[in-house]
Amino acid sequence: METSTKKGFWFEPIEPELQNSEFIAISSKGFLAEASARFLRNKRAVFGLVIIVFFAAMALFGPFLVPYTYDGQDPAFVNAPPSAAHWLGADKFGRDIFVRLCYGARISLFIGFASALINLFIGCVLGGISGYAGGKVDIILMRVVDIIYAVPSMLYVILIMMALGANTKSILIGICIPGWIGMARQVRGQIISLKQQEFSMAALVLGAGDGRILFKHLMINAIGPIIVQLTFLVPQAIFTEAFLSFVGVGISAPMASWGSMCQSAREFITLYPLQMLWPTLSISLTIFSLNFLGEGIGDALNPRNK
Amino acid sequence: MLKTIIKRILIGVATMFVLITVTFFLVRLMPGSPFEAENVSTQMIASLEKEYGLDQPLFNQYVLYLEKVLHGDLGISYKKNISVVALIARGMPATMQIGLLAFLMAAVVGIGLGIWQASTKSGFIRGLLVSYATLGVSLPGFVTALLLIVVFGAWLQALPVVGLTSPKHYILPVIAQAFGPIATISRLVKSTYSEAMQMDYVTMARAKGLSKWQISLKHILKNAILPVITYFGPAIAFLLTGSFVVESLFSIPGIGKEFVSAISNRDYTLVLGLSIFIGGVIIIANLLVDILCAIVDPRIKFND
Repeated sequence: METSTKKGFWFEPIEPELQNSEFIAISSKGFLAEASARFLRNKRAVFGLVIIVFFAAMALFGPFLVPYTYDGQDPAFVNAPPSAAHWLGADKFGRDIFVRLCYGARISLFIGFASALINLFIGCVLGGISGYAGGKVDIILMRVVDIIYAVPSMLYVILIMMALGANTKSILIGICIPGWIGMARQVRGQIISLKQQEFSMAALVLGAGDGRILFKHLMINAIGPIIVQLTFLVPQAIFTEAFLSFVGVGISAPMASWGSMCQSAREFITLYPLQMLWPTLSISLTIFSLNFLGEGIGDALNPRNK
Repeated sequence: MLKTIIKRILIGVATMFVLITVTFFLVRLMPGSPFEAENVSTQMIASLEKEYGLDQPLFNQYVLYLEKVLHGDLGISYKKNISVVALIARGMPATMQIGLLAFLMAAVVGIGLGIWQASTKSGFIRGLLVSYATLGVSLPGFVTALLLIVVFGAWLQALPVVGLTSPKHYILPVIAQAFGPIATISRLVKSTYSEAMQMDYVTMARAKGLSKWQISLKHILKNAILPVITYFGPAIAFLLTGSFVVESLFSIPGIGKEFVSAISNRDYTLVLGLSIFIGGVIIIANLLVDILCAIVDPRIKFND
């Protein structure tokens, strides 16, 4: 004991003024705090967030700001340019474009987020089971995935829309039937690599059941890639809805969606290009912002991006 | 490798079978009779349904339909009273021309822009190309097509926007179709190309005194091209579904326009036949791309 404190031996006692040299001045932050700090530093992602919040606010409160309904026609204002009465003008039936844009935002955002959540659920459950169980279950599920994936999803969606009628519910069903594939593949890959790690074995040894290991241990660790995949599902669904309504199987008149507004503005596109501009601008901005947002969240959740 | 190719083909066949079954029953689920019209009596409908075999039990109809499809008969468009195969033969040339041109343009311009973006030293050009890639990936196809029509067709009146009668008529539809895939391909090429640029064999080639072009095309691109080839399958699917919008916007008499008008006319059998055809083309295209990948890159042994 005495020798070890003597100078010249293995260790030297530290000088008093150096005692605090290993003190960490920055308080250590949690994962979420760090991720959100990273997110806020990303200008494009914050821009995307602001735009999405703007459209969400428009969808929620927009219709209360003006005294019009989406199908109220005013013959005095047919094809009117923007004015104090109609902020963005009126369409060929004299319907207020601003209100219709707000209802369109409702439909687009609802379909985008609702279908993403449904696909998240189905994809996680099926992909998780497939990856965790392996063997025959995995082979059968993955063949089903291959078969659904081989056909462009737009075909399914169009056929389902025609069979079930043109409304929000059948768009959702149509988007979700092929929509979970990507999520399921992602989750399956993650689970397969995670289940070989020690903590999964530890949970098994401690007597945790399959369901508990899969959802409480493995899935939680795959949350980053899952969220990234989720952020790509939203713009995809919004795009699909706009495409369908534009082709004529989506939301039907007089209900307004961005795609159907494009469709009805198409007839007089050379005379009234502004009527086309508003919905196309809304769709593009939303999809843009969601992509930025998705990239930003993906970067923020990746702890290697310090 | 032969074993895996056979496996892929079997999956393709199974997919085709599922596609036919699902579309058949979905179409039969659709409300109303295909012959319903304002001046058609119920007796007429009944006799027409009998003529086309629609009064038989659903399962018999299904077996009959499968048999017909296997013989290359996709049924008859009840609304137009012409066989679906004849309609496909009529629309195919226009769709193929636009599709192939757009495909070539997407591949050439996309790869070019990707290489440019990876090798330029100018931050301005890089920024410009990155914004284009983001724009191209985010803009829905019909928005691009509409913008092109408004700007070049309506405002500048520089290019024709209706039909396919002269070479000039091809310009806008092909650009509209290729706009998105160009962005995707340039993104892919940019990332794989700049990765391959770091490799030792590139330094080696430079040290040997090879020309810039030789290095770029023979040494870097050859190793960076695989993800682009993998994307060819989805690109073909994208171009086919994209043709729905582009062809109806530019009034091009192709399969896409036929499909959209079949949807709005509720011409169920035509939708059924065209869905099976389009699905089949895409399944075959994906299969060929898979095999092509294995040929191009000997490292792929198909072991999944």
